[in-house]
Amino acid sequence: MEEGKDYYVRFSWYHRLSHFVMMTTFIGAALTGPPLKYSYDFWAQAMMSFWGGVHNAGLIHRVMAGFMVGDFVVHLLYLAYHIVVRKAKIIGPDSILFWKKDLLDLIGMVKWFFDRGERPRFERYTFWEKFDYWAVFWGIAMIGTSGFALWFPTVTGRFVSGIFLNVARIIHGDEAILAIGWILFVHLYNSHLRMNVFPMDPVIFTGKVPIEHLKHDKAAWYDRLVREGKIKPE
Amino acid sequence: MVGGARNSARELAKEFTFSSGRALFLAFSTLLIVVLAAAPAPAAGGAPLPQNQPVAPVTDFTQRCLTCHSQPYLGQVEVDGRAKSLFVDPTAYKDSVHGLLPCNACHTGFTPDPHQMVSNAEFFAQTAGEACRNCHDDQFEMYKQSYHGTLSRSGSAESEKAPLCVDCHGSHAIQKVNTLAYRQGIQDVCGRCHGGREATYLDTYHGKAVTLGRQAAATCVDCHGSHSILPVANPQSTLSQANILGTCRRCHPEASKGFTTFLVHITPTSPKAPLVVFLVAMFYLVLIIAVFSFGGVHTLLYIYRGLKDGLYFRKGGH
Repeated sequence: MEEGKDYYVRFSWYHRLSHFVMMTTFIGAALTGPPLKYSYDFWAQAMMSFWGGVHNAGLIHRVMAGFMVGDFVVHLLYLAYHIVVRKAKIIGPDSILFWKKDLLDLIGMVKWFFDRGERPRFERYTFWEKFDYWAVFWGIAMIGTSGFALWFPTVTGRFVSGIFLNVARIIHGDEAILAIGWILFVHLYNSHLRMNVFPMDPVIFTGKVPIEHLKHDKAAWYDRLVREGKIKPE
Repeated sequence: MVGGARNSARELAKEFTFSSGRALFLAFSTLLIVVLAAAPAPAAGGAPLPQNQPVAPVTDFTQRCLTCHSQPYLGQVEVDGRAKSLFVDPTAYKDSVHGLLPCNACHTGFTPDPHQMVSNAEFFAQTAGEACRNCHDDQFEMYKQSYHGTLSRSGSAESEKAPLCVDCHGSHAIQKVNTLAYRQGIQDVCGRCHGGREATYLDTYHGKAVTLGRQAAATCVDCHGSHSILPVANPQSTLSQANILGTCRRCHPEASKGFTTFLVHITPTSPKAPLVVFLVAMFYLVLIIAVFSFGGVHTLLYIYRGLKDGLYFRKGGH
């Protein structure tokens, strides 16, 4: 592509590394956890044999969990750094937090789906990207906490009633359904299989988004970047 | 002594009749045994058999019984409305832990003509329970004190349902209880009477891990006990308030009192579950439906719009 020479670096090396760790540990955990949950299914038994039994699968699952939670903790430090040291705005066009525009964008998207209006002029993060982010944020908090509670059940029992182990089991399993289902059926489509980037959007691995694409995909952000002099107008 | 077995045995004895066909078959096969027993002796080239040996050698005895009882077409008799097979799978028997024992080690009190015993109800009662005692006295004493043992002697209507040794362990194909295959089936054995409990057990980590081949994970008997099993309400039970911590600590040495309140036999989505468990389960049910509805509809509409505009196949649109 001609416009391929003209890129904007959307994701820093930290963003890319963080996503890569999240992606690989997620896949690892998602391949070792569900066979236990669905122990009665033939595929679960075949998968468990592949890992070499419950013990080995559990070991891999915990190693994955360790790196994933590590990634999460580093991200919390990253957020703290940006908010405390760099004085980043909590609410605004560069923030991952939901704001009023997201609701308007959602309504705009529904209108656009049915050809009743123009596609919303998105800012830096679309509402589905924010949803992806907060799904992971919430997901790790819940699945991580419940996972550690189940990993060390006797420690859990020292602080709370054993019924919380029942609760942790529900949270861990149902969060897993949410996470795996969301990644497979929503995230992969919205990020990679959507029009124009089909069959894959490499931006999360390269960090670079073609300006030509950015102009259409996130018009409001493009305009702002031009205004701020960060990219040259086409 | 063992009421349930005695009653069943009486029924069996009443209904056990030989057809003339079976008698003929027995006579013929007895003749066959005599021929077969005689034949290998010269071939082996050993000393001649003792003339006045009162009891046949162990394997020979088993072989004699199996001549008839290894025939699958031997048929069945009806006991308490249930079909009881007269067939003994010789391979399964030889592979069982008792495979080297002669039949009369358990089927005690045999006379040279074994089938005189059939008319004797005592014989079946002994076999069903007391015969085990000859070798497994400790286990039998524990069983006698257990809920199952007490129930079997109670003489109440329920005593018929009380399990005897063979009801849990099986008989001719009896296996070691610490094998993976046996442990994987324990909940089905208990579930025959305690229906529904096996499903909730299989939904716990213990049940799932055993299903997937982790032999050490707990089964029914590891928590409830086996031969000396008692209701949880009984202070002597392994799961009574006084004993449960010790039972958990057999596998989880660090267990505390809080740990023991984990509930195995609950269905989280049932209102009968503890409130917090039920509410969390319901919350996630609603959350999963809401999140996937939102994400799914958005994705489908996005695909719809993309296909409608043919945007998958050209650049420059959205």
